[in-house]
Amino acid sequence: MDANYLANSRKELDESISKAALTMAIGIVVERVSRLSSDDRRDLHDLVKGLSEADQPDEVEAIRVAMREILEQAPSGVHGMKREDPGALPEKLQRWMDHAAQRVRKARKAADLTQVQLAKKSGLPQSHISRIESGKLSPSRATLDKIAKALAKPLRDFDPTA
Amino acid sequence: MIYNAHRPHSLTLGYTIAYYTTSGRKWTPPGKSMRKDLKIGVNRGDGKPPSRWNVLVLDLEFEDAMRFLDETQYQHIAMQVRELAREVDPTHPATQNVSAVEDLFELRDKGGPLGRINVRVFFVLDKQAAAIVVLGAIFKQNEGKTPFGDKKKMQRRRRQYFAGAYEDPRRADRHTRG
Repeated sequence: MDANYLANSRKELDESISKAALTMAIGIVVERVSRLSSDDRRDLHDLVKGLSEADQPDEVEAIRVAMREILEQAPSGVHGMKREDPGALPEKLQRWMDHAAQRVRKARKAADLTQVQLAKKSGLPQSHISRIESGKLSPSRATLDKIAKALAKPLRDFDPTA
Repeated sequence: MIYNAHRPHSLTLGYTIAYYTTSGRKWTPPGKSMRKDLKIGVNRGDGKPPSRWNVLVLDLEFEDAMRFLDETQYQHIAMQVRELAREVDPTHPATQNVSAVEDLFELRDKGGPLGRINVRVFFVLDKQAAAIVVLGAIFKQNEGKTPFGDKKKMQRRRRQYFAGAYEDPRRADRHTRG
């Protein structure tokens, strides 16, 4: 047997294995799709359509993940989040909360405002400002934006990542 | 003797207060209509102060978030959701950036412990359970619109939740996990 014959046989075998694998994969997908609810089938159809229009890698990835979630039909649950904040926080988060507390308190006092006055000016609840200033709350960007505007300070004064 | 009973009325107006006699009959105070709308001021549903709303989290959301958030970032986001639960109307909060994405709501946050990661948390309100239902989270490196696939995924989770495909939200032990 010459080398060419062996190479060709190998190629044919690989191709037939690939074809069989592809046929099997398609069969599995078809079988799974047939078991889906009509809502899920419609979603899947929309996602396939969306895939042809997606031009950004993150859009393609989001569609792929959504399709997988539908096809897997993995059971899931729901749990309640505790109402109170957890006791021990990660050190990095506490450091950030202490930093924000100190910056907000200092800027408010420099503007000669009480917490109530800052609350009124910023549109935030006074209790919210109080919890930020006492280092019990990690402020959102939206909150810091409002505080910065009310105190006529750049956002960067409160959040170095801004 | 007369007592009053609170019950949810609408998201924006707050609550309706109705008066009843001890025999269970409705009673109209002299010169007042049968129902009186209050703007704010009472707790919604079975939420106790400081939270007005319960928070229910899909296990799928937790899995989503832990793919791209570290513990510090996750706790920061959890705090923002708890803050949302203090609001009278979590869809129009004073303390967070929330916008409507068709039949869903999207909380957006960045900066602080999140750095340049732009986190988006999707939720809906289950008025019957007086709950904010957190459906999932994604991150983006820019301020762009929500990817179509993510939106579809969250809408499907919303549908599944209200169809009862996930655990019954009215179960008594629903507040036990952190």
